[in-house]
Amino acid sequence: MLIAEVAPAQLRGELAACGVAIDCGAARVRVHSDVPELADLLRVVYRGYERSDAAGACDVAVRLRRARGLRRWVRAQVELLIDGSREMEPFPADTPLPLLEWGMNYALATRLNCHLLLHAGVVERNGRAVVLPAMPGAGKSTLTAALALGGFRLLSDEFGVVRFGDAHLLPLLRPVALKNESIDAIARLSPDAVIGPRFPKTHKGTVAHLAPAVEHVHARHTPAAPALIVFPRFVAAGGVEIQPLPRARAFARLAVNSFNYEIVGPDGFDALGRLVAASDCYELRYGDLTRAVQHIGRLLDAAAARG
Amino acid sequence: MPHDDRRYAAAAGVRVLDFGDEFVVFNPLSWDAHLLNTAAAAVLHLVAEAPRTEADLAAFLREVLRDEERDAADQHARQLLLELAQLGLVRSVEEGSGADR
Repeated sequence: MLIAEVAPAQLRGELAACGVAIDCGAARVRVHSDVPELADLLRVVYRGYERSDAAGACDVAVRLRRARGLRRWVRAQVELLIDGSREMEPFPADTPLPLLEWGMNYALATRLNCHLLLHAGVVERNGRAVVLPAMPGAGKSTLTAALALGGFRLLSDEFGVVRFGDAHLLPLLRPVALKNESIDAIARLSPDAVIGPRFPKTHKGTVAHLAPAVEHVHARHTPAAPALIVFPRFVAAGGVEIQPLPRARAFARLAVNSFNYEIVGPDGFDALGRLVAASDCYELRYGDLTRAVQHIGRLLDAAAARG
Repeated sequence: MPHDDRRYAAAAGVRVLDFGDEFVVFNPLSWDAHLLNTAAAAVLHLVAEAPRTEADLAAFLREVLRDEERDAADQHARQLLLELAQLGLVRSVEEGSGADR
């Protein structure tokens, strides 16, 4: 049964009792919570995921709970425990989903060292991956969302999960976190997109989450071969400019961009080398989402034609 | 300027990726990745094959450098060895038997 199909009261009960496991592809996360609003939020942004048995092994366990003591009554807060310990500051009680999503990002970035983790969006078409590495604020999630709504399969808007050995990209599929103007930009681009409620006044401004398409969720265990690496940068009122990037330079930028390159060492070096060697590399400055998606499609076609 | 007559070898665990005009090297001490140009990568390749002296490397550079640069081959060899050693990518064989690969 899909999470969207579970009755709200039942999902609330399961979250509060044993928790609910979410299979994101490269990792499985157990979510536990006594926050009543969370069930309805999960039914929207994780609508296409199977409700799976929380008793099985999970890579990360997160518990979102109402803060104790006075904070239960005065400016109520929610707090997140990761594998039993509080590693992030509490959030206001009316922002449970942003805290859960950012907390899951943090937990995965600091624990999932069985793969090389890049800070990157990843999509694929015809089995060939497009990796979109970027620093926060560069427009990575917006472009990843636009690609996912424009004929590409979404693997992640946050993690480029590179498998040691063959450097294939593994999905770590979760809702896409959209911020501020990008929420309306994506809604205009695809009126059918399922976007959860908006959470204003977070430390990153207004945040809303795009639910992955059900067919992308079904394919979350299907990897993609490396083919294209594009470093995006959003430039307001700009068109689309694209520049080839030498592979050695791309390697250096990806090593800096990785969450765990310094932890995984030689395995990460080898995986990154294979990823870069198998990919065409570019820098992209874009202000027009539709044209950026078209350009990336053409670049991917060209990379595929070269084999 | 007299040559340093010690023999140098690549540090154990050095890995080199060849991307054409530039090379990326894995530093086994720091786990950093370094970008190298062709000359530095060639010198690193040579000392990874077998221990070499500064004079060996200068002789190699004299063969591959342009005419107007050949007189500076000794200086280039010394400078490259110094920089590679400072990064921990090469070491003199006399410093430790483990480096003699």
